[in-house]
Amino acid sequence: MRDETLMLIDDDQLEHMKLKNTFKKLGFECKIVSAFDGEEGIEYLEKNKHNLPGIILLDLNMPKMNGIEFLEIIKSDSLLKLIPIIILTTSSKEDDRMACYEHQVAGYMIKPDNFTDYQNLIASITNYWSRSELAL
Amino acid sequence: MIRLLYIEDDMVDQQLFLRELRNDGYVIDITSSFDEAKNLIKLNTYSLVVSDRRVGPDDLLEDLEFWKSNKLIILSNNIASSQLKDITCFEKPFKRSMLEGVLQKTNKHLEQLELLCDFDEEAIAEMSLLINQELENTHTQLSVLRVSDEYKQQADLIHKVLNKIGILGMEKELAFFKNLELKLRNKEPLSSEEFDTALKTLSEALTIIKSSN
Repeated sequence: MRDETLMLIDDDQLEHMKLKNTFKKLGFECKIVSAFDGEEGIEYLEKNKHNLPGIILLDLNMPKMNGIEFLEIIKSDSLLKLIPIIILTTSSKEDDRMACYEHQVAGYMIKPDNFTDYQNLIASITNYWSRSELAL
Repeated sequence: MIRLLYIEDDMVDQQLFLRELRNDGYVIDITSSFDEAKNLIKLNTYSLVVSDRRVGPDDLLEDLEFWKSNKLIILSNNIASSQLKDITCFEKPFKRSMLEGVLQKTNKHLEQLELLCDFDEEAIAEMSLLINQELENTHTQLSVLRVSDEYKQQADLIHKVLNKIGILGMEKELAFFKNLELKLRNKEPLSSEEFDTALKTLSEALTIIKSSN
């Protein structure tokens, strides 16, 4: 069972603050769960299999366990692989993009430098998510 | 909040400075000695230091390296010196327009942070503190690592400050940092000038973020 919780996995604390403030500014009422690397993300998901997030925003470049390693684990689990994952990264490398799509991610987004673009991106992700079947 | 320090021993010039900027909402500290100014700089963070070249018996050129480490504008009747070539100098009398470019830039840099935090002072303070810590940390570590060939570590450090530079709206600097990261990922060493510019930019970003408090 999944709920309307969004999970952000990113080692940069600032990204968590940005997301939290953007949600507040846009008036989105959605619980945000934070993890600061892939390992922490897996740990949370394993412990909360009955209350999984409805969507995961995932960074790629992280210590301990990076985004690709996280995808490899999550996509081999019959339940966890159903959670839509959107990559939110600064990497525009084609190799990274290809590796992510090979792991069936729902989207690959480059983190915008500009706040307005960032806000628009988060709004489009959440609007799409709330309207689609992804929000189960 | 933008805080300025004006170093001037002439009371008429002090009044003129205050009169020109009184409606702009800046916090302005005035002192008539370089020694007191140095103490104030230790205690407060200034977006800009404006100084006469000669204050009392002292000449700013006597300790130029210290003053150059601050964001400095010289306002004087005597700005003809080759030692001042890298510093923004204006001849008296002071006019508000002299500072507009510099101060607008600082305001512009803080605009994104304010928007992102929806002008919530608590959120701005929290985010500023975090950005401040990370910029300081990166500045320290990058200064140490510049003599090594740890390209990956250097790239990781630079990578971590990209979004801080981005939040401050420092677009040109962001492009420069992205280019540095790319070079390092390709195991290309940075030149001494590139390191100097990177460290200087981090110091500038620190000054900006400190002025948000």
